[in-house]
Amino acid sequence: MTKFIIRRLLLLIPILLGLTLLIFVFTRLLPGDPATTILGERATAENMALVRESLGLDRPLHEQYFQYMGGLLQGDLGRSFITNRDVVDDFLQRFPATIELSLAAIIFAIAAGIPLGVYTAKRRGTWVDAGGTILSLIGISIPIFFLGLMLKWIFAIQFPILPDSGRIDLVDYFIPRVTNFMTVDALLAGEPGGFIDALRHLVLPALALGTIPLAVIMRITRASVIDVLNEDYVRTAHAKGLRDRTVDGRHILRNALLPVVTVIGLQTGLLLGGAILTETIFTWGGVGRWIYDAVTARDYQIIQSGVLMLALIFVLVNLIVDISYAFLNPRIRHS
Amino acid sequence: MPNWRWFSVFTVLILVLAACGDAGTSASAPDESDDPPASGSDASEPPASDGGTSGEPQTGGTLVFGGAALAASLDPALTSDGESFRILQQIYEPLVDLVPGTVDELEGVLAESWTGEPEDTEYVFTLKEGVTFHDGTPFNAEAVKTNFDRWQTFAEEFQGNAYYYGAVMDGFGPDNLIESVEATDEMTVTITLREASPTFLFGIALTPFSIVSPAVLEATSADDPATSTLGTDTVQGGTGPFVMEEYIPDDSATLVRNDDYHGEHTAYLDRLIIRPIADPAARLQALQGGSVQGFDLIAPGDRDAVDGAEGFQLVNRESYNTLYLGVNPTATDDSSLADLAVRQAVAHAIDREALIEAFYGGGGSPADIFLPPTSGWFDSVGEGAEVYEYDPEAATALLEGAGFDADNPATVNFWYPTEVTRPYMPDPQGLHQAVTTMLEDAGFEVEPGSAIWGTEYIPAAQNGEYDLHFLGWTGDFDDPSNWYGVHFGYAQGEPAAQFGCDVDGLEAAIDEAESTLEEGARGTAWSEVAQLVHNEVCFVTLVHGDTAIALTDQVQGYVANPTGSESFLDVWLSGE
Amino acid sequence: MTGAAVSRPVEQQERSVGLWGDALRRMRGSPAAIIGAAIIIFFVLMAIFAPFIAPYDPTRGDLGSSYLPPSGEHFFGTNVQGQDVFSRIIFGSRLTLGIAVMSVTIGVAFGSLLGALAGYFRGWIDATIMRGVDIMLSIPGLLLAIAVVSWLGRGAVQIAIAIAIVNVPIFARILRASLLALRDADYVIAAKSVGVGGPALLLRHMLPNAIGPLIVQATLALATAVVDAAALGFLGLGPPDPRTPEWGAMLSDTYRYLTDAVHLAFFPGIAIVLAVLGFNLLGDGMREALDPKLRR
Repeated sequence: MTKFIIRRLLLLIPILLGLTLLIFVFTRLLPGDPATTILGERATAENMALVRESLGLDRPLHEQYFQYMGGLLQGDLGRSFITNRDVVDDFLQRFPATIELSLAAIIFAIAAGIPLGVYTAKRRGTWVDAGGTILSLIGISIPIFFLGLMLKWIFAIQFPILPDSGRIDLVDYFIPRVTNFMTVDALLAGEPGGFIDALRHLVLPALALGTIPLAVIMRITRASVIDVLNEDYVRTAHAKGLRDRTVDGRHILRNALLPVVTVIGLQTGLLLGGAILTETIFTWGGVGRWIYDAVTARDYQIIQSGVLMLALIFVLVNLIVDISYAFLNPRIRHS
Repeated sequence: MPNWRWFSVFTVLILVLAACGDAGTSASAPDESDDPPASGSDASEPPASDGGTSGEPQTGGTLVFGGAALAASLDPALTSDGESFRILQQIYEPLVDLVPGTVDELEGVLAESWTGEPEDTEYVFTLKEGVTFHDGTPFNAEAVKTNFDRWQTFAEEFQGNAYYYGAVMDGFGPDNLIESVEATDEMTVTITLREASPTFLFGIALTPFSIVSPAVLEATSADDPATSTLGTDTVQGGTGPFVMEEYIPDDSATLVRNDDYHGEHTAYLDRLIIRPIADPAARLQALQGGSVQGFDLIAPGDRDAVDGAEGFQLVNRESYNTLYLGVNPTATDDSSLADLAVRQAVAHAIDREALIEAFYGGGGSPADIFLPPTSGWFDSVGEGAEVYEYDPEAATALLEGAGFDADNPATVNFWYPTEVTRPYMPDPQGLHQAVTTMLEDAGFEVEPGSAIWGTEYIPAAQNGEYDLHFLGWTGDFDDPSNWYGVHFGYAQGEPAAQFGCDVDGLEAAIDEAESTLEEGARGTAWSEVAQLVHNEVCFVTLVHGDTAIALTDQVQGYVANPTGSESFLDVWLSGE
Repeated sequence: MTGAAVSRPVEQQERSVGLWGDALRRMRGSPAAIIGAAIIIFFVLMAIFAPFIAPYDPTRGDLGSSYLPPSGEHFFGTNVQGQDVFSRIIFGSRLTLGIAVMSVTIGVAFGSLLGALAGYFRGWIDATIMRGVDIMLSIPGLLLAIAVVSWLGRGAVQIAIAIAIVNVPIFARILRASLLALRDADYVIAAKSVGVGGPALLLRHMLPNAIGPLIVQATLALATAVVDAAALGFLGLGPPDPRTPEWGAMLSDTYRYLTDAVHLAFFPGIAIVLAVLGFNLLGDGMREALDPKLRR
């Protein structure tokens, strides 16, 4: 097992190296440059030249790349071209927002998706199953941005029972940011009301972001439970006279979890992509929108370091998924 | 079935969160009377409708206000955009400022009084007594000198972003407009200019010329581009009515009242929070949903959703801007626009009233000249300039006269920017579609194009790469040079590449106008320039767009300025 | 039912009907696949006959008639430009389907080329290709597409390429995995033992059998391509001429009027959902039909 993990970690090195080069080349391929972003219509040729020079954009590309890599190796991910803020600080301030949202979405997806999947699997062939299948397909087919807009329109504007945007009610709660997880910070500040309010702000964006994973998890669970139900050992368990619930818990779920775990790993990438749209619609100050804005503003430093950190997290999550996969499945562990 | 239990617990949790919301929702959320929440029965705070706009200002409360973004930098000298100014001018103050509601009258802020006229080269400022910076440092002549010296000696890395200093003072370093800044005594500052500048006083009224505490400048090593933290840290360096409490990029800027403010009264609000909401639609939704109590730059199409709607009010901000269509005959080889008649056809083809109706919510006026009517120079500069009425038949006739017809149409490329809205250009893409249709109706063949605003569009437009393009201007200070001069000024004998507008006598006319200081003669001199560029159709001025601030009924005392530079000092909340 | 005609024992038909005939027969029995195919055919017909169905020129605006509510004259109302939303949705299907098909074709072509190379040659070629695939997959797909469109510029072909680039590593992985699984299949070993090798083995014996999962994935990729194209349009990276009707851009152009003109966002949204649903249903039906486990 340890050898497996070490091997996988070593494999990360060429991937990350390749990634830095890929992103670097990419940022330089983007037309336009960041020098004019701040000044807008007030930009003049002299000002642009000055900004380019101070950002080091007038130097040869390989120099720029090696300078970036040099900083990277010393743990310096650079500063935003536009706000001059430390990219790591910016990332750490926004990333918890995205994590909080993604976690809420994935918890929603699992909490609803697995039971629904098991339920429909056990009623395979009935109208419940058919209805569930169609609903899950519709769930997969609704684009996040459309669902988000509709949820917002219905639950925040037509029937204002949930907040439309933001992470907390700024009038009622002044929460000092410590971890940048709003729910955690509210509790740290001793504001249970703020905690509830932060949860309320999570509901609509998490529903929007979590619906596709929900539908996927439900479908996978259903399929794998059906597979497992047909396996001999479950039939044996039933034949042994084990009660339904024991069979459910011990045999079916455990085996059905395998593909589900994989799906969760795969959904991380989708969540991060979906976060761009969700964060746009719900004005959620997370990394998705941050990187998107950096792309349009050609803030190379944020694109380079931000995407690198995101990708690192993505591959780490997948590594963890693989490990837990191996853990859950003895056949892989032993081979 | 254990799984079902799990699921139902979860469902209930969501429902509870939705339901318990109203109990926890802010007292200051707008009254939701027209759509009672499904969860029903909460006895929230009394509705604001009884307050109206009358009554004595009340102290207290938190106002959450939606802007389009937070500040580009927290160092005022390095900012040049309205969103940065919105936050920083609550904290920092310049020596003088525009009288609220005007664009051409000045009043003292940190200066008690001053001497110096547009023709003069020496200005003497008598500073206000008893002012302290937020960090406790006393405000005095030395502090003013420290700031002026800092700007003048800005390192190159800063110069690119310190647009306004460079523009007002004609660059940086010992050879710029500033000859000397002397602290003549504790409370008197004498500024000597190398030559008379009619824009100097208006220039230093801008937020980038705010005076920052010398102690804070020192502590943040504000002179060193590599280590300066003035632009990123929450510091207490201003003299304004609000103090920065917390600043979270992309999330919120939290300001609290400065209880020692030197003005006639301290701010009424306990706390002012600015939230960045890039999308105008999302800003409106935030107001309707109750997560902000006010926001700036409403999408013009949404004016009706707020104006006259129960619980909301709209504050109109008169235009101090102009949208224009850049017309560049030199952008492409053998451009049809090289023919004056074709350029005139462009001008006649556009129905500006229809644009205002559709894209400005009716809030705006057709731009006959570059300067908006709010400008004190509007009448004198506008005299004699050609005005092009909407007349598609005339446009078609002009095109035919120039040898173009349906089989051989005049082809132009026409560009618009993405990722941006501007006060003068609330919907670039929508405007572009409409104008394209109008041009086609007149007989043009249009090749549309788009590019990202800051990174691609601006440089390309300024390089003169587009036949036709949208751009506009919001006045910095009220002087015709800030409009015609900035756009059509020659550099090393070359006309501005953006317009490729090389008209006989234009360079001389601009030089003449720049150096004419007496007000009446200056107006006449600039009207010569205006006539040249309008008659030659170097650009087609389209619209002066009004903008507007949407507020809940509770927000009182908000005064809109044409420049968009507005203080929250006098803003208060009723009905709490 | 037509099912009766092909209900001879499957084993006997293996040579003549084969995998595909069997799959087709199974798909005809799957309501999901039929509904999906019906939806797709509906949109394809809509795209082909758009000029005959649409009552108005979708690009032609008139500021005098902006924001008309839905009526007998304008079924879905008009937008700010005074363009007929119904006609725009009809014509929008052309761009959406075009981008989806183009992107998946490019994606399948390059993806399966890479996958075949990796799966067939193994060794360092495999390692290099698969590391490249890992790198691509470690960037969130939508972000990658945004970056590619920002690089290539806005336009239908550019959008299709961007979405294709996101799909290439996915197809590569799938084909490689199926090829690896086949290496040890009895008939491949048998073919090798009688001296069939090289490209012939790959092309004649392995690819046809590995292609099933690829086709399923391609159909599902059409669904995500529709979503991705709309997402790019929604973020303002749609076609450069804003008059070109595109569903995602239509949605974002008008969603600011959610409070008073929901239909402007609703109709294009529903069009997207339907098209995506169609491809998903079809893909799902195909997967069930092709899945050997389910065929038992």
